[in-house]
Amino acid sequence: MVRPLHPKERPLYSRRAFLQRAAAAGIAMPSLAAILAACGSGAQSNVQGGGGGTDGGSNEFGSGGIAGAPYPLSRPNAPVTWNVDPSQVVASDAKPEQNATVKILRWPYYLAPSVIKSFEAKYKCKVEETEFSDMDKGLAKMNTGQGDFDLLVGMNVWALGRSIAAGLLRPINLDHIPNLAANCWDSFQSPFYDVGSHYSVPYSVWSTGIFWRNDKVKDNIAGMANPYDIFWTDAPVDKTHLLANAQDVLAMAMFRDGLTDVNEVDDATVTAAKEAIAEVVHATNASFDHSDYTELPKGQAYLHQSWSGNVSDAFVFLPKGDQAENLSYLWPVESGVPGNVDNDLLVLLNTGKAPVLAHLLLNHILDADNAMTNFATWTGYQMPQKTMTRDALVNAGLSPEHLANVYIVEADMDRGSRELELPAAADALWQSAYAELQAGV
Amino acid sequence: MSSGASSARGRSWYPRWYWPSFAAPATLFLLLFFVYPFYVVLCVAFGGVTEILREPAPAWNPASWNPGILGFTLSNITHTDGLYHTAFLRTFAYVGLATLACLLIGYPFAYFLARHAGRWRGLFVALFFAPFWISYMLRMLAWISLLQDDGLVNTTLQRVGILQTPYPWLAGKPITLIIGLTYGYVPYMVLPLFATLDRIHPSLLEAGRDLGASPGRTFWRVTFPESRQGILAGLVICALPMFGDYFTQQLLANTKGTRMIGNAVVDSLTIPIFVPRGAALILVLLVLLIGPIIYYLWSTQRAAAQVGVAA
Repeated sequence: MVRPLHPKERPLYSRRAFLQRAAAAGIAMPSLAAILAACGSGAQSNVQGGGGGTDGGSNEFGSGGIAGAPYPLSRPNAPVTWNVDPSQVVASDAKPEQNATVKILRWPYYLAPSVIKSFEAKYKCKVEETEFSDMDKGLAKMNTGQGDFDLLVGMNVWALGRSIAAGLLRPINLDHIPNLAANCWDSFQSPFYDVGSHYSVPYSVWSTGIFWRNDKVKDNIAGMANPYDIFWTDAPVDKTHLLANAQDVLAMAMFRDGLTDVNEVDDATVTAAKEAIAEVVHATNASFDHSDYTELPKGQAYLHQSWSGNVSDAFVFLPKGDQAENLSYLWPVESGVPGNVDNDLLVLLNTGKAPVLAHLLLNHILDADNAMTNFATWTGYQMPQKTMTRDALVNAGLSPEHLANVYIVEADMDRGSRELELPAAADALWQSAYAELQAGV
Repeated sequence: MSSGASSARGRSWYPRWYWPSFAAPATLFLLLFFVYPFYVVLCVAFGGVTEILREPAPAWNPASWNPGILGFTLSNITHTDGLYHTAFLRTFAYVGLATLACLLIGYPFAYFLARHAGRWRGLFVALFFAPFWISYMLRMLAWISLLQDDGLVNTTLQRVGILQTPYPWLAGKPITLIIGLTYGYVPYMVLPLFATLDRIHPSLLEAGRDLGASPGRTFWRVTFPESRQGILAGLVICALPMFGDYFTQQLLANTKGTRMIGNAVVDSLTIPIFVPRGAALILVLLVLLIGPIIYYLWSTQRAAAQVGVAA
């Protein structure tokens, strides 16, 4: 097996020495990936100092909102109007760039290829897509200034203010996006997080609720006075899963206790929520993940805290012979207790080289037919379109009738509670609590 | 010999830097992809967080390094109720058991290859390593399929009457994680063992037998001691990457009860304000792993010296 050495080849390293050095090199392996990952630091370099610089009144970034960050933090009862630099706004009569490439930054599987293709054909351009795996990584990619990205698909509302303050977003000229007024729900024409829609248009809406296999969990969850109790009273051991992020998990315990505003809570409330979730984790060996749409159909989980958008098409992952009737979903607000409802955004980035086409792509995505194609064939996440009513979606056969409650109606946006950007200190507190839950301490 | 070599070097056409220059690409690689990133990790661990995007802000100037995060991390490792204490202990236990399992599986196979496989050796090597031509992620996904409630493992165990109901292998069971780690890293044990066992000269074994030793005694008195450096190399090569592994746990046993150091690092790196903590964990892990590697280097050098004395 080993080729004999020619006498002229100097055996600098014996096999033993080679093994010795190879093993020594191995010390680098455990951490090399993490070391390399740490190299991608952002361009922004101002180190955190004191607290926020706004009183919620008005500053260089916008007006309204509440204090807690260098820019206003939006709340439903404290809307924010973001300032716009007119020189960055695309003219209303600007023509689409010719032979250009529109560069998109998006979550995985979050924009239907057929919608992209129809846009490319319509405007004779190319579209390049780059993925990010979570919003923080998306922000980091934006902040590098590399990639010349024109737009981002699926920005969380909590990331909007900091992106504007960091100068990463391009203002929107709504003259290029008539489909916002024509097709989207009225509540998204001038939302509290971006009054006047200066920087964003809505993309998807969802609720956060309880997803379970009713053939395995026999409790009548929908009939419980407080459906969240199922996680504390009769959650299946080894088959209970929670969402893998600080806000959704901790907010669930707060909603269970009747809180409707989970964004303005004190340290003691966060600690109590952590301890309550720790009870669930301890009792059920619960894990944290976002794979509900495959885990429940495959029986890897029987009870999952879930986003309605993940539930809406979970039935397609059922194994042969299993039935969609075995899957149930409940938004606890339907039972009279608080619960989360949210949306994400389409935004333009100021690094883009094709801003007019980027506007037109936003308009293309908000077209009623394209929105339906995007939802029905690809994302599974409902868009706040006037034509996407609950009845229409069920009648179209997109979900079984008993799962019609995965679809949001416009009034739900007022019935549900939002999970919004927290002041820096509060954010650290929530994240620390979640880290402790993950660590089991 | 040395004067001859000197005169040969004196007559050579190449300058003194010629042969050392061959190491330049590897040196450059090391500087670019290890030394520099390592410095970045240091700067992140001793740095802060940006005010607006709340991303890590490395402190490039060592004079401005803030040791607070490293202190926090060390405190959470050493205190029994710390964030990372259990994960560290658990990692050492899992890595120890999985490495031992790799040795118990790898040694007999390497011995068979080196001594008894004969002309089929190539075939056996190819068959053993065939699954490892597939990516690590796909192999772990295959394990998910095998271990789920209605997977092959549960259905087989139920069919032969060992289990009455499916065992929840994928619900955060340490045994699943140890199996996964063992499966993932066992080739790294086999290769150095095979290389070592294959080099043991048959005359040594014949001498043992000529002196009246039984096959078992010959193994324990000759083969095993001669393969010690291979075992040590295999242990080091297997264990070191296992210490940084997070993927196996994420796929096969994703609960807090099986969380390893690698998971603590990755979890920290995915939350921007905690990236400095992740960097500090990396530093601590590196320092901890230097211990075994120093022992390994010392051991091999001592063995080499003993061979030299014997010669």
